[in-house]
Amino acid sequence: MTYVPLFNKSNGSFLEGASHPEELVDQCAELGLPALAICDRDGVYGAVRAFQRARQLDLKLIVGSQITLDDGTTIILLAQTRRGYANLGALITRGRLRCEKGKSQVRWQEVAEHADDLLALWGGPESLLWKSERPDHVASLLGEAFGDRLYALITRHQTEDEQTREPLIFARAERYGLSCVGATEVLYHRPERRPLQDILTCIRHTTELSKAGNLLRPNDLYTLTPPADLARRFADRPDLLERTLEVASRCTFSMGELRYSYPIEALPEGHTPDSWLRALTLKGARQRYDGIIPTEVLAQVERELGIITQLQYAGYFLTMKEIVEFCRAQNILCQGRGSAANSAVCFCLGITAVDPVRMGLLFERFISPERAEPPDIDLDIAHERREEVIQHVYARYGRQRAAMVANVIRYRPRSAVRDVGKALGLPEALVDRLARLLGHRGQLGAETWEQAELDPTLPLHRHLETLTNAILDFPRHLSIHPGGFILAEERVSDLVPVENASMENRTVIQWDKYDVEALGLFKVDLLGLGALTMIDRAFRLLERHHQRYLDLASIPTEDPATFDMICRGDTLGVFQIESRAQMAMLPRLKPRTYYDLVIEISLVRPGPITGDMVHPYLRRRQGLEPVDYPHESLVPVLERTLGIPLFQEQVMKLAIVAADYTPGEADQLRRDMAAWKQHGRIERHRERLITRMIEKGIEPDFAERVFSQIQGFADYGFPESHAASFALLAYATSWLRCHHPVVFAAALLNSQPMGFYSTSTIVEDARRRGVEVRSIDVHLSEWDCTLEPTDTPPFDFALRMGLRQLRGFSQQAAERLIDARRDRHFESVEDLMRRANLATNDHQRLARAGALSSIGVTRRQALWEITGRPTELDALSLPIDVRDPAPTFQKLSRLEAIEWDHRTSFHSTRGHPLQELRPLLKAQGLPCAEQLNALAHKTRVHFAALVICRQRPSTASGVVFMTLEDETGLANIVIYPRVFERFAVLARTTPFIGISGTIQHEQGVTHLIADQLWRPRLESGPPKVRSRDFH
Amino acid sequence: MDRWACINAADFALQVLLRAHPDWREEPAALLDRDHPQGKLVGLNLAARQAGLRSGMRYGEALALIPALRAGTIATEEVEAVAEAIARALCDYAPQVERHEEIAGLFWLNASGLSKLYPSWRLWAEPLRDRLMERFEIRVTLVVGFRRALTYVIARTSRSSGAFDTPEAEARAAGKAPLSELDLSRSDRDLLAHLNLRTLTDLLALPARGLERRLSPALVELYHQARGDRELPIRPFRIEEPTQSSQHLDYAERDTHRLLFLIKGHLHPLLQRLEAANDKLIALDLHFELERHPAITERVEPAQPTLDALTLSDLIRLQLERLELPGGVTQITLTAHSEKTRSEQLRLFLGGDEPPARDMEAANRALARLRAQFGVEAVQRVRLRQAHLPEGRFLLEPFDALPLPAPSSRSNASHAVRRFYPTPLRLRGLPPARDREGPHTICGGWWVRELHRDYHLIATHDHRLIWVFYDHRRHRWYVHAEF
Repeated sequence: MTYVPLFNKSNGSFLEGASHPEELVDQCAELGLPALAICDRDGVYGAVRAFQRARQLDLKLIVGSQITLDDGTTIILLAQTRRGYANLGALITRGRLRCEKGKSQVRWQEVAEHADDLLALWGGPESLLWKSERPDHVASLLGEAFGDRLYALITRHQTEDEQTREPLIFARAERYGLSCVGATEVLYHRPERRPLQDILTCIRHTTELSKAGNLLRPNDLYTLTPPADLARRFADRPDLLERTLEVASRCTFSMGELRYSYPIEALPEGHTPDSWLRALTLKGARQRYDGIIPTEVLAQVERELGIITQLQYAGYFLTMKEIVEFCRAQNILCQGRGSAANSAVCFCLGITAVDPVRMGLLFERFISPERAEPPDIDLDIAHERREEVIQHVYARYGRQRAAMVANVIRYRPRSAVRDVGKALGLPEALVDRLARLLGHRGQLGAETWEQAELDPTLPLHRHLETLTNAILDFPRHLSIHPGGFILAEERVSDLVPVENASMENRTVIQWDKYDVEALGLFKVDLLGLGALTMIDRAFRLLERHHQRYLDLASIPTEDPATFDMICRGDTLGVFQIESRAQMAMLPRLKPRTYYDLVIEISLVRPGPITGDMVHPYLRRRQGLEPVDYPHESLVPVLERTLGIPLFQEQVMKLAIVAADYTPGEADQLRRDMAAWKQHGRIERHRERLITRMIEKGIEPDFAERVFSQIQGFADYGFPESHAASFALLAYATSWLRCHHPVVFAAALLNSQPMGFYSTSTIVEDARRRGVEVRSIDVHLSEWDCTLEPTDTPPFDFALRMGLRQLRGFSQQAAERLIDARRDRHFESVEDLMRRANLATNDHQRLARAGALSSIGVTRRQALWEITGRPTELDALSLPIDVRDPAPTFQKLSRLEAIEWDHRTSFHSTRGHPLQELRPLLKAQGLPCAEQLNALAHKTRVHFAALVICRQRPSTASGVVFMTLEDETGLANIVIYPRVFERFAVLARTTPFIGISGTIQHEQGVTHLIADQLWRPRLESGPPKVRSRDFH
Repeated sequence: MDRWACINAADFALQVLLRAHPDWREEPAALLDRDHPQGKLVGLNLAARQAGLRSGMRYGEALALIPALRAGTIATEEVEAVAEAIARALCDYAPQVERHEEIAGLFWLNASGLSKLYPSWRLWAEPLRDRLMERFEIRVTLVVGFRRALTYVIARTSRSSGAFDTPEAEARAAGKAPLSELDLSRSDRDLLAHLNLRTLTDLLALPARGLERRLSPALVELYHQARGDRELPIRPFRIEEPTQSSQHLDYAERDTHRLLFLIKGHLHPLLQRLEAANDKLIALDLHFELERHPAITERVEPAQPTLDALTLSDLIRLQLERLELPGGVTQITLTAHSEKTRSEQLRLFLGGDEPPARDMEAANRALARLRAQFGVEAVQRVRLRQAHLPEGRFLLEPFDALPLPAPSSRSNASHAVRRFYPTPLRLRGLPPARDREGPHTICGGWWVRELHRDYHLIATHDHRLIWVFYDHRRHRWYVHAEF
């Protein structure tokens, strides 16, 4: 005898279901069951993953949900048809949107209203049918709405309560005329998962096992049961199980029926989406190419339009065009990136800024007719204004037609060990100790126990290990995708339920981007990019102070001075090429063209590094080794990168040319690259690629190397189109830095936090480049950093630091201050306090930062005056006006002033902290950063400076790269793991550090290879400077 | 002129913690404000400080730096108890001892006149310091001076002990004390640091007027005390002696009747002493030193605080009757535990309410007699708990006083009374059943002791209704309850 399990909850029922949807499907197939219903609580979170696996195994999947009512009870609804599924989505959406995030409640009336083509299973301990009071009213409402599609659910888990209640349920079913159907509530696919389910229950209820009591299920029968076992349990009523087959046969809906209709824009009369897209594209092309569209561009555009028409994607492009137009109209800087840069249509529509024809980019990376999957257009938007664009999309399409894609937050080792440890009742300090030793990936194992000096054989520790590893990748909660939107022609809820996000004014769907991709739904990505904000601000400053009107397209191209600066590695604050590794690569690569920048951006990535492509490329570029190609046919593919594959597109083209992949297959190869770590899919390409390459006469060694690079790409391999979009911004920021350093610094500071470097480092860099930087002043500073005219060469403008740099000072306070000083300057501290009337803390912040010096008081005097608080005497109607005597305080030394600056605003305009200490450092024989460059290769040296950045890239085998700064510039320190471990505390905590080591010069870049770290001995140390650490 | 000695145990709470973990002394060790990864380090030993840890760091952060860090918390009561014990010990060294009201581990001793007994302060102070180390494992700094406020400042900021010969020398030393090491609020410390006021002398250089507007009351107080305008108020420490009575016997007494007679002789004066102090007896410890056997202590607890000798004698008699003395008693000690007379006595004067329908006091007296006769464990009550296992659904626990019953609104519901066997009885085989219901499966407890039982309700042919289970781990049948 067989049956269909109708009440199964996957781990998409957050912190309740203890099996992945795929595991439930696999187990069902193993037990030989014909179908399976996934009924996650108030949602369809696990449906897509279950559907994908069920499709592979040819198993029928029924989609449903356990719906929570406003009286706290539940009912299970199963979708019979596509219409029923839409009703289910609408009902869940209604329940979700009226509750706070994570909760849902619908009314019985609403269940009845959405009953069409839904099938209801009513029963189980959480149902109203189970309660003592007779639910006559609800039964009649449901009976009317569902008719014979309403079943009484008889659950059997061998619990005492169930056995007691069963006669009551049968009696009520008879009274209401309901057919009965049998089931178990399945929370895990095998009984071995029961402990994990207990743990999830504890996490959900924030308790621990020893205190959970009846919150835990009484036994391990909440699992998929073999037919024979279940038949024994229902031996007295076999008809209950037989009816499960009837129920399953009545549900014909499949997730595969979900067809996506893209919203159609309002079109000019006489136009279809395709014809309107063609018109706009050709119009844009004429603008792009000054009225004459080159033949090859036209051919490419025609080819793309043909594919877009064939796949009916025109609406999507029109939407993107509309969003870009909105940004333009609102002066919001935006730029398309990602695979869209491969499309000539996107370029002509103004969505992207890179000419794919000129760049020879591969359109199939963007859209493949064979794959027929929606294209992916990512739009970068100035991050400060992204919310305006998001709200525009909501406003234009309405909440019903637009929702953001979810991001499912899953358990990673650290969160897993913390939550499981807490549920097991282990001391938090112990759990924390383990969590800190775990990385972001991997499992809890012997090595971690050893490092934590804990005994892994203790029973509770054994449980901790097993369950921590079992819970990995389980959904923890739902968050919002950074910018993914899903748009629908009718209602999003027809496709998937929508719910509230924790962020105000945001609604999200119940699926993440992988689910959306799997079902072939269109996603619009609106991403925030700090660099665009910075460039936007810079353009505005140029307009205001230099009367120069620029945009991304009109920045002078291929400017030699800009590339000279880039070649020196003088790129602090420049988008994408400011990191320590990029800076070190620049003097070796010596970029002289835009395309060189594209390569530079792509080269310093884990993909090329682990694929061992960097050094061969550099050697060829420097003429140290000949440029050769493994096969003649690969010359066009690898020509531009000197025979070395660096980009994803090249790997695709390589597969097409060398292994006879079709473009669509090549794109599948790219996708499998991205997912190989999780699924090992890349292995299936291995033999095919290598064998075919060898057959074509390519050296086996090269073939292997290409394959290993493909695996490397899985991590962070850069597509050429992506790098091309970024290179444009990198060039724009470089040009600004080179020609307008004051504007560059102001725009960069006003866009913080972004990039690699702190305010202090940006200010010091600007000062070194000759920018006059003026301190925060109550009379002159605006909220933002501003430009002020100056007579001091070399620039016409000085940089005035803005009030935003003042730690803890709010924009509202700044506005009040600026308002108060509008008519006249402040005469005294008392005058400032009276007119600006800020909080005492804010007055103190200004005093400590030295912003009151233009009033004529020292910082300490100002602080003493401000610190006074009212006493009882002040409340007298006739106060005796006797001023407190003013004590004399010691004036701040220069070093102290710098220290106070750093403490209050994380920077100082008065000088670098080490400038004051230089005589002392010099007396100890310590060189400055500038002098390090002049030392001979392999010279042993002692050096001391401030740490501004610590990095431990995952590709560097534990090597830590530290950037130190003094008044003369930056120094690159390399610390190998054994040295780091020895001096870990110093290396991690000390802001002012001494390094002993050996100088290494390599192609114009100087490194200090550390062998000892020490704390410099000075009478007074420099102020604490904030470093940015990336571990 | 008065002489004062200030004794400061730096990081007192940490020192108390390290007494419990002597193996931590050589390792980096820290005291946490709470047992949580986000707990802050509030005390550090030398090894921890040398390893680069700082007070105020989060525990998690510190652990990332020093994986071998040992850390823990300590209950305030424990710290208090050690401080109390030290204060008692200090009473042996000076007639007047004071404890700081808020800072545990800070004491003053009035040392006036001691110079006549000791030719040098060193001869008095050094043994005292050594004694504290030896007995309590607490390291202290001891400063002998003339003004309590100044000795406090010096002892709190200095690592070395000593005595001042003149008030001027004391004032000079106090003036150099770094303010950052005194017990000031964070806002005071920040302000002083910003104004570059580093030492007590810097503070005293400020004009007195306007200080109240800018500094906290505690710092203003310190300012005035250090200037000599005011003095620290004296709060002498008093040892609370327990109300005790003891008697050595010339012979080893085995007869409990005679013992009761002897005890009664001490009981009356003891109760009179309590009455004089407006106290009532809540418990009485009877300590018996035995001949050639370890001593035993019995506790008698009346149902409510009392001074009634008759009630107490009755309870003592019941307790003695069940007592089996292994040897003859050579000494009796009675220790009375008491509390202040409470308001219910006022009922006598104010006129009581209507007597309750149930005499709870009588019930509690009866229970007290049961406890006295059969031991404290004899009287327990059931507390219900949420659990799946039958034996886990209730808990038997001792209790002090019987509360008035609060009948629930659903008292009419009828329940079958199930009599549990505390330890399930093993069955050789299942008795023949007239009727049978089940199984109800309970399995779980995997994190401590896994069990798996299938329960059945069986009506036997001999008209018993029994609740049995099959234990899947032991492969055996058991009876767990009968109806």
